[in-house]
Amino acid sequence: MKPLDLGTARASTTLPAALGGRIEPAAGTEPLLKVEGLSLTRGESLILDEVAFSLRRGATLGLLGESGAGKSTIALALIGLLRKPEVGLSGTITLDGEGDVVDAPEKAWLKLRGRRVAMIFQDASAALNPCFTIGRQIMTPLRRVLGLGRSAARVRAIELLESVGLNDAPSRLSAYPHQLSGGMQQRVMIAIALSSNPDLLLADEPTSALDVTIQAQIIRLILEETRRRSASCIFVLHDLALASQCCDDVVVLYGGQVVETGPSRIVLDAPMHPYTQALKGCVLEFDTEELEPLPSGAPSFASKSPGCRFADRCARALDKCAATKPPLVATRGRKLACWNPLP
Amino acid sequence: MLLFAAGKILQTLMVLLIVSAVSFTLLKLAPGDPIQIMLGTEYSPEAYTSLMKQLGLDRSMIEQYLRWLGSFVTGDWGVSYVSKAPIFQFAVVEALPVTLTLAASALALSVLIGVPLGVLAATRRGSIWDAATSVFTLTGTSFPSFYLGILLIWLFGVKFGLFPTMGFVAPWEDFWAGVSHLTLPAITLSIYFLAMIVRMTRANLIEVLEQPYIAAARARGEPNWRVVWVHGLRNILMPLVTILGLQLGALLQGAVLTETVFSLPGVGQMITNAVLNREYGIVQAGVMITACLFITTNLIVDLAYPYLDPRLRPR
Repeated sequence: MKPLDLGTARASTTLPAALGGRIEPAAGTEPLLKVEGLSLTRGESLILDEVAFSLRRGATLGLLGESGAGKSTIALALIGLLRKPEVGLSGTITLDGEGDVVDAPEKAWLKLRGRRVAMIFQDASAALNPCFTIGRQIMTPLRRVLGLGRSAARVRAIELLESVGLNDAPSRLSAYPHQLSGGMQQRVMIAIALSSNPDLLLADEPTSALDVTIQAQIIRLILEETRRRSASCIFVLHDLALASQCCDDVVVLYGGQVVETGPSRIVLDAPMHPYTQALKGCVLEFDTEELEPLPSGAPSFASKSPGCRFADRCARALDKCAATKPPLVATRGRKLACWNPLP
Repeated sequence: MLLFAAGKILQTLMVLLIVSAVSFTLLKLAPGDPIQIMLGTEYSPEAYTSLMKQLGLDRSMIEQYLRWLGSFVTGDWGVSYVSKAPIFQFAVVEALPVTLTLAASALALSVLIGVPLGVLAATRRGSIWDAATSVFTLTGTSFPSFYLGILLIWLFGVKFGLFPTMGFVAPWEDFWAGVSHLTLPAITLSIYFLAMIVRMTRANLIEVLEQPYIAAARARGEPNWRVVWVHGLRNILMPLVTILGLQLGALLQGAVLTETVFSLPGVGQMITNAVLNREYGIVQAGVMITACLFITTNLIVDLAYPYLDPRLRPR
């Protein structure tokens, strides 16, 4: 697997102290975020099926899977944007110090969104309002959330833009989004998301709309900035190579079900779930000629099948796979939901 | 920016020139002889030719057009054959302000009521509000405005006696009398426009509210009202203003009917009477005024685009 150059901000175990390091959570502290039994039904379809994971303070977590696996849906639920009219959300999302926020009223979410939880979107060119200047979009949250005055917000905005590596920051304030390149737009989004020092940063495929050459820079920037603030970060990714390098833990999703979760080194180096193994086989490797495609057919939500969603595409499927949903149980350093795991 | 504006203005002047030539030719080709109307049923051939010479109607079409254009630009629009009054005086000084006041009040009414209604329908999609506004817009766009005018006159003028049903009082001379005289005509004229603005606002806002930058604004902790009224509305200004500019023709057309129903001495009524009397000069003046209004509005809309959408600003 060709490693991306993530420089000093590689996986946390190798992170040098010179970077400011990350603050390791004291033993026994509550996790920053705990998701339990998160389900979402829309009409007849079960979009999320009892999703559960937790996130330590200062750690990075990757949500992995194909499109349609429910990764972005989870991110939207975590920032409280999946409420009305999607009424079928159940389970608990426990944010440290806030309790369960799944059913929190909009008023409570207004105090969390952009304050304790922030989000970076997939396509920065679409996530910045085309009609407002960069300065206005970065200064509005500073003034509304942090209550800064006009000139203080301006100074802070310039600092933020400089910290995300935007040169010529003062003049960028009066620029409109379309006048910036894709990479610069995503840097602005990061600056906006970090402006209120959130505890949890959600990054929904932050680099998939960008040039490959800029990918590593942006990922490194997100890692550095979140670690400097000892914030936690959830990456929504479909790129396993990237995940193995920037995430402490991963959650592999298939059709809205968690199939395998645990430390990324353990899960991605030696997958036990056939789906994780198959995803890994899809990654383009430069030393082999052939790709191993997954059997066709995207995950389907139409049938609320009682068993494992992956059963009909799985080469190792047993009779009971389609009939009974495998429970998520701790196995060899990870949690796994499979009746017939890889050895 | 200056170059862009200059180009647009030049374009506008060209269009006006073409409009003037076409309307001049069409009116010359229209049946009916103004001299016959002026002279009545019995006249001598000598009187006919002398009047023709006096009015310049014996010259070639091109000569007539150029002479007309020359005097038109200098504000000499000739005199009415019937009332002998100077056309410029009663077309521009007397009739135009009436039409402009009527159109402006109808426009203001439709925007001030239409935009909030559209926002309401878009943000509460599928609710009883949405259903009610869609019934209203359908009725509004399909209901003939002159008939609505007559209904309003009967209901509020005759039955309840709340508003005067005819005539015009300038609001800048007597504000309350002006407003009460304008109320029914403005409502009549605005209904179609109002319905259209509601529909446009609703459709465009629904589309805009699904854009990622709206979710991003919410994710930044912006409250719902700011998301809709600041981030959402700012992005539908452009299609809204475009439609307003394009539909001004419909508004002027509606003004003709409304002015007739409510006996308002505006440009519409002036054109109607002039056509009946075969007063070429006045019809021509009316056409030019209408064309100027329409084209100027579109010029303003064009010039406003760069302000409405930063992406259209010339570098």
